Amino acid sequence: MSTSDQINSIELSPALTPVLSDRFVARWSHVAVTATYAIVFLLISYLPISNVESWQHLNQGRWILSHQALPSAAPGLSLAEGMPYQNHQWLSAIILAKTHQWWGAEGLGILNAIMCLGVMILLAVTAFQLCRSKALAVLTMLISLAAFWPELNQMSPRMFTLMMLAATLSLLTHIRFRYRNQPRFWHGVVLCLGMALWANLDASFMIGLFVLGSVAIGCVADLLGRRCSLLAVFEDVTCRRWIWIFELAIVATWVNPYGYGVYTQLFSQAGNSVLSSLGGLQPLNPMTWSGVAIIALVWLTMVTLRSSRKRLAGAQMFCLSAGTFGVIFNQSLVLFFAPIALMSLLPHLRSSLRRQGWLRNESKNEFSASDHQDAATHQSHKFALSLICVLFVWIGFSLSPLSRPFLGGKGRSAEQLYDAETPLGVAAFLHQCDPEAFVWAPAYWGDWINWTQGPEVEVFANSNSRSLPQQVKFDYGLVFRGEASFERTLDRYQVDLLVADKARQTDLIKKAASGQSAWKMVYEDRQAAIFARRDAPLNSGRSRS
Amino acid sequence: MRSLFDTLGRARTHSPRALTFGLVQTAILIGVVATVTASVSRPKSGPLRLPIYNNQPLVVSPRFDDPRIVTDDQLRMVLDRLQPAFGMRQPKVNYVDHALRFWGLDARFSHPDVLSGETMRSLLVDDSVFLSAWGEKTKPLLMPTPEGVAVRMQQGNASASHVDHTLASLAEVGTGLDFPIQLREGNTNVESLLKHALSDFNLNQREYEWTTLALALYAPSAEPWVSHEGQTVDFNRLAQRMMRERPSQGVCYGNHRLYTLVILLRVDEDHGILNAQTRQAIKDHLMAMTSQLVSTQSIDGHWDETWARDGRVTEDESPEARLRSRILATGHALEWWAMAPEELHPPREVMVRAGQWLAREIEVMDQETVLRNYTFLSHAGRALALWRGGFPCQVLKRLEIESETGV
Repeated sequence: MSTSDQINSIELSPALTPVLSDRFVARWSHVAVTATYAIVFLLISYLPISNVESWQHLNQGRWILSHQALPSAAPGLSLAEGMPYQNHQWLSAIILAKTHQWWGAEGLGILNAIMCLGVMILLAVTAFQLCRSKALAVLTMLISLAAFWPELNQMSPRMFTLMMLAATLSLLTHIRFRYRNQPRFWHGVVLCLGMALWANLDASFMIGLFVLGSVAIGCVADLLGRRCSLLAVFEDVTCRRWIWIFELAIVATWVNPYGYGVYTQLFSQAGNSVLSSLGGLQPLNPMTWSGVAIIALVWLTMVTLRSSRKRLAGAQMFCLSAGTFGVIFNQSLVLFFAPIALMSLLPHLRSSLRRQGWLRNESKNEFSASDHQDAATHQSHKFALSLICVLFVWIGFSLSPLSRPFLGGKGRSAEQLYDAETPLGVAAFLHQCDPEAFVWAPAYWGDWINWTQGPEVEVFANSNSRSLPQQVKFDYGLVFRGEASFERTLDRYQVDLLVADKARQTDLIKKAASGQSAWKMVYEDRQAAIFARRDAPLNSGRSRS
Repeated sequence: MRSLFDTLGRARTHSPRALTFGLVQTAILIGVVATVTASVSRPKSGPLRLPIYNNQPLVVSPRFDDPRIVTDDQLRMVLDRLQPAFGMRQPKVNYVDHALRFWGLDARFSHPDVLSGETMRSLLVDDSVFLSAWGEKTKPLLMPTPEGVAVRMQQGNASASHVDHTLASLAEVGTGLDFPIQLREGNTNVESLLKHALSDFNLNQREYEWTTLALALYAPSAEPWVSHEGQTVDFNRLAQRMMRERPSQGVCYGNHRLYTLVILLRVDEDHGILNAQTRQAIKDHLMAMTSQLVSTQSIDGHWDETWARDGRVTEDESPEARLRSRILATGHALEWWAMAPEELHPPREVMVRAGQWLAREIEVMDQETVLRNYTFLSHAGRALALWRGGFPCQVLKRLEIESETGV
C-alpha cells in the first residue's frame, strides 16, 4: 500500500478502532478484585513498623554487613556471649538491612507491602487455578491476609518465607494441572533451588519440606490405596519423581552456613534455634487472633469435607491433619497453615458450593467475546472497565509511599512510621546522653535501642533473649517485676542506665524513684522513665567487649 | 522388611528403574533409622562439659622481698599475733579456711590451742574431725550432691562464708585433687568439690572469684569448657566478668577479684590461658585500680572502703568498724600487689606506708580484736609475709634460721 493510499484510508475511517486484544477487556469482577488489591496494598503500605522483633533482624543484618561474617553470639547482647547461637535468617537480615540502608524505614514498609501484595496475588492465582472462581480466590486471599494480620507490620523474614511458601504452592498447583501431577526435571531443579534459598532466609524452610513431603507421601498413599502394592509405588513414575524431589530438597537445605547442623539443632537440648525460629511451643489459645483463625479454619474444613463429593487426596489429608496437629502446639504456625489448608480445601469447597448451587463454573477462556456482548455492541466502551482497573492500580500506587520518589510528596513522620509502642523519646535521650552505656530496658525495647544507638550500646535483653543464660533470664525477670533485690542485681551486671516501661513496670518505677534508691530519674515521657545511678554522672559509660 | 525385599526381588524382574529406586530408598531408610536411633539412644548429659584438670594445683609464689614494707621484727610480731588460736571447740569454719590459706599446710605451733595446717585442713575435709569439733548435732560442712560435694554456705559459724573459698584455699595450699574427703555418707576426694563447683557455676553468679582462682590452679588451660547453662567459658570470659563490676561492688570491696586477676596474669605467663586483648585489658584494669588506690591513700598509709568510691565517705561508723574496714582494704591491696607483676605496682613508698601502718595497727591490737577480725587480718598477715618473698611458714622458718645463725 502506497503512502497516499494509507492517508486516504485514514480519512475514510473517522472512528478510532481499538488495537488491544480482547484479552484485556475487563469485567466488573475484575474491577472488584483490582480495587480489593489496591486497598489491601494501601493498607499494608501505611502500617507503622512494629517495635517488636523488626529491629532484631535489622541489627543482625547490620552486624553481618559490617563484619562480613555471621555472628557467633546474638548481636547487641554481650551477656549472651558464649551461648550457642545459630542465625538461620542471615540472608533475610541482610536484605532488610540493605533496604534500610538504601531507602530508610519507609523503604522497609514499601518492601513489606510489595512482598505481601506478591504473596496475595500468588495465592489468589493459585486458588483460581484450583477452583476456577474469582470470588473464592479473593476469599482465599482475604482469609490468608487475616491469618497474617498480626505479623503484617513486622519487618521480619516472614515476608520472604511467605513468598517462598506461596511460590511453592503455586508451582505445585501448576504441576498438578498443567502436567497432571508429573513433575519434570526442571520442576525438581526449581523446587530444590527454592528450598536452598528458603533454608538461608529462615528456619521455616521446614514448612516447605512439610509441603513437599505431604505431596510425596500423599502420592504413595493414593497409589497404595488403589493398588495395595509396594512394587506399584516403585514402578510409578509420578511417585518416584515426587520422592526424589522431596529427598533432594532435604539435601538442598544443607546448603546453608550450618550445613546439616540445622537438623541436629532439632534434637539439641540447649537453645533449639530452629524451633525457636518457628515460634517455639505456643499451645493454641482460642482467645487470641491466631486461635480464632485456627478454629475458623478447622470448622471450615469439617463443613467443607462433609458436604464435598470429591475424594480427599492423600496429600490434602496429610497436610490438613498434620497441619492441624502442628498449630495445636504452636499457634503461630497459622501463618503457614492457613494458605496450605485453604489450598487443600478449595477443590472441595468448590464442589460443595456447586452442589448447593451457589457457584457457577467460570470458563477457562473467561475473556472471550461471548462474555462481553454488551461491550461488543459498544466498541467505544469496550475497555472502560479495564481503564477503571488501571485507575485503581494508579490510585494504589500514587497514594502509597511507593510513589514519593517519583511523584514527590512529604514522607511520614517518625510517629506515623513507627508504631505507638516504639520508645522514640528513649532513643533520642540515650543518643545524647551516653553513647557507651550498658542499658537495662524491657526486652521488647532492646532491639530498638540497639538499632538506634549503634553497636556501642549493649542492652541487658532484647527479643533474642532466648540466647541468654538461664541466670540472666531469671535476673531480667526479677528487675522487670521490680522485686526488692533489683538494685543488687543491676549492680552485679554493672548496668549504667535503667529504662522502665511506665505502663507495665509501675513497681520498678516506684522503687527506683524512691529516696532510698541508688537511682535517680533523668528522663520521663508518656511511655518510659530513665534512671541513672546517683553516684555515677551521665556520659560515664564504658564499652563492654 | 521381608516384604520389602520380596518387592525388590519382584522389581528386578519387572523394571530395572524400579529396582534401582527401591534399593536406593531402602538404603536411605536404613540410614535415617540408624541415625535417629543413634541420636535418641545417646545418653543425654546436658550441655555441661567440664575442663580437664591436673591432680596437683599450681603454686604461684611471691617475687619481691622488701624489708621496708615490713621488717623482720615486725613480721615476726605480726605472725606471732595472728596464730590460729581457735582451739578445737567449735572453731568458725570461716576462720579456719582463711587461716589455712594464710598459714598453709606446713604450719605447726607449740601451743595446743593453735591449730596446725594439717588439723585445719582435716577440719574442712574430714567429717569425723569436724564432728569432734562441732558436736554430733551440727549439720555437716560437706554435703554430697549428684555432681560431687558441696560446701554448706552462709548458715552460721559452722559453714563457709564465700562461694568456693574453701576449695580455693585447699588449692592455694597445694592439696591434690585425689586428697581424700570423708563425708558422713562415705569417702570421696577433693576432685568432687571441684566438680560440684564447676557443675554449679554460672558466669553471672554473685561470687565467682574463688571458683576462678581454684580453676586457674587446677586447670591452667586455654581450652574452653561449657557451663550447665550451655555457655562456653574460658579464662578470657571469666576475666571480662571480673572486670565488669565496679570496685565498690563485690565482697571485700572488690579486692578478691583483683587478686584473682593477678593470679590469672601470673598463670598466663607459663600456661598462656589468656589472649593478648584480655591480657592487656587486665593490666589496664589493674593499673586503673592502682591509680585509684594511690589517689585515695590516707596520709598514714591505710585505705578504707571509700577507696572504691573516689574517697567519698557515706556514713559514720564505730571506731572498730572503721578499723576493720581499714585493715580489710589495706591488707587486701598489699596482698594482690605482692603477687602482681612489677609494672602494676604503685610507687614503692605507697606500699611501704601501707605495710608500716598495718604492722603498727596489728602490734597495738588486743587479742580479742584480733580474733574478731581474723578473716581480714589473715589477708593482712599473708600480704606482709608475701612482701618478704615467701608464704608465712617459709618466711618464718627463714627468719628463725637467720636469727639462730645470725646470717
